[in-house]
Amino acid sequence: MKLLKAFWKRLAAPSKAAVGVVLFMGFAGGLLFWGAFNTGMEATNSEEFCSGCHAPIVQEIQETIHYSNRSGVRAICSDCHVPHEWTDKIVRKVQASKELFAYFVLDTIGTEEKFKERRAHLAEREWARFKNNDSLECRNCHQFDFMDFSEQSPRSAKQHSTALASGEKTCVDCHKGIAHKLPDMHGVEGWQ
Amino acid sequence: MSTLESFIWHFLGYTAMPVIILTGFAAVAAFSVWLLSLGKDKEID
Repeated sequence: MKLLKAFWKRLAAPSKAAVGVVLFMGFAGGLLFWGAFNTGMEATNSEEFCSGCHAPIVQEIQETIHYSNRSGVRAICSDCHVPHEWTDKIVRKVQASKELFAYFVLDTIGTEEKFKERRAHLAEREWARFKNNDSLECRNCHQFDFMDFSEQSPRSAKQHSTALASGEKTCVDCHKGIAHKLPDMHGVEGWQ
Repeated sequence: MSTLESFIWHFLGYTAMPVIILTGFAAVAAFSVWLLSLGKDKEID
């Protein structure tokens, strides 16, 4: 309390240092804080961080086109599972606190067996999130306006030019399991 | 995720933003005040 009072007294009193010095300290301090904060947040977006709890899933992506492909462009976990906009990203990170609690306290996916049991639930949550945001994370890279239907298979071109174009369907409705193994799909709409 | 759960996470997420910014201000202010106290501002009591 005494320390807080002393801090407040200094904060409220004019400084004897030049205005330029005080302004520079605020500017440099702000830069450093923001840099450190964003570095920390980006660290939680790395594949190494994700694999700390989701090792089996991170392993699986290595067999898919989102890991290795002819053009050499690859997606990591956060590209698809963390919103790119700052405000949405913060909301998702805060929400992830529940997932940390589930992992460290409830131990819901601590072993491979537990993870397999939980897989359908985890997948369903992500599908619902994609459905609600119109597959925003897919669209960050795959932009409908620039799709060349003549380069697609007839089946893809037909679906994209009708169901996707009209908004009746979104990417995740058809493209489930493109980066991970599918869980038991019994009861999932369109997969019976 | 239910609508209520989504609302709660959005509420907490948007609340976290000013908390982050104000924490940053407090941390920078505390460091700056300490740094200034080493020099010219030392006489303030």
